[in-house]
Amino acid sequence: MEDLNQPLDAGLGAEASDHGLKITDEICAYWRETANWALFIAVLMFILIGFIMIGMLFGGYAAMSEGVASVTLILAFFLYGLVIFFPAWYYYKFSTLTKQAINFGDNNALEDGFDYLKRFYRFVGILVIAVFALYILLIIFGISMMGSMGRGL
Amino acid sequence: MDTFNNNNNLRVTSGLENNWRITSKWAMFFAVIGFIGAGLYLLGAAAIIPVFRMMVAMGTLPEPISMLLGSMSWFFVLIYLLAVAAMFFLALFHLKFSNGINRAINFTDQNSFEIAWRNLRNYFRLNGIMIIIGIALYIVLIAVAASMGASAMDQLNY
Repeated sequence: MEDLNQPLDAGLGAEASDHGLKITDEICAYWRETANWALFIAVLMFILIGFIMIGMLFGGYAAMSEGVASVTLILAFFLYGLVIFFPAWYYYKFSTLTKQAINFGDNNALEDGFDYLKRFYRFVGILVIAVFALYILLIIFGISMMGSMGRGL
Repeated sequence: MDTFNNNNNLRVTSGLENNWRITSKWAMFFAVIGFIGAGLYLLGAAAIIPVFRMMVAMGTLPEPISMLLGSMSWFFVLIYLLAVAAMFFLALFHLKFSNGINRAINFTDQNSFEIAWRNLRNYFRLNGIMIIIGIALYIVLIAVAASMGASAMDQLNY
């Protein structure tokens, strides 16, 4: 026989896990402070993007008047801005959604907030791996260049 | 208002656990990189004073800068070591967060759960404080450079 004595939202939305982990007031206080710092860092990153965009405009204009590769310069600035935009956005969303979850007891907002934190970590982690790989490639390239120059001498 | 608190409806779901597990793996990755980086930077600290002495001995630097490097090299070493210590603690907080979350989810350990979030909070707090100190240092450096430039201009005029 199906159990009919269940809350109306049973089985809907976020599935409650079997674990007995509780979200206490202390944990909420930690999350709130974490979200505040994340918002602070996100705002600084957005300001940095603003500076990069200003640099892109002035640098591109200066390069155009000098006749050097202005498109490459603008593209490099744009890519730099784009790389910073995503972590800043993830931090901003994590902060706002987590605060909303704590203030209104919204479990969906909590899941979305931590999903953005996960995305932030994944993005920065992959970026770090990519930069390391680039460094290693450059070192290998440099060593091989030095080797070929040594043979040439 | 942030003071309104209604966390009665908040509960740990399987989706949250999944997110936290993935986040904790990346946090562990950053912790390992942070420890390696802090170790390498600590080795680099031994080279600061010899490099400063060499730069002063070369005599190519302007007089005020070489005087500053010569007389305040220990101050620069101290700032460098503080930055390395901050790097170490950032990595440590990430490590504790990662371990705490894993232990909490695997063994339903409420104490580890709270410790993990306290460490993530500590990581963000230290990160924010370091950013504020970094920006303040930039402003001080710009002010010092501007005043040095102004005094150099004055000397040229007279």
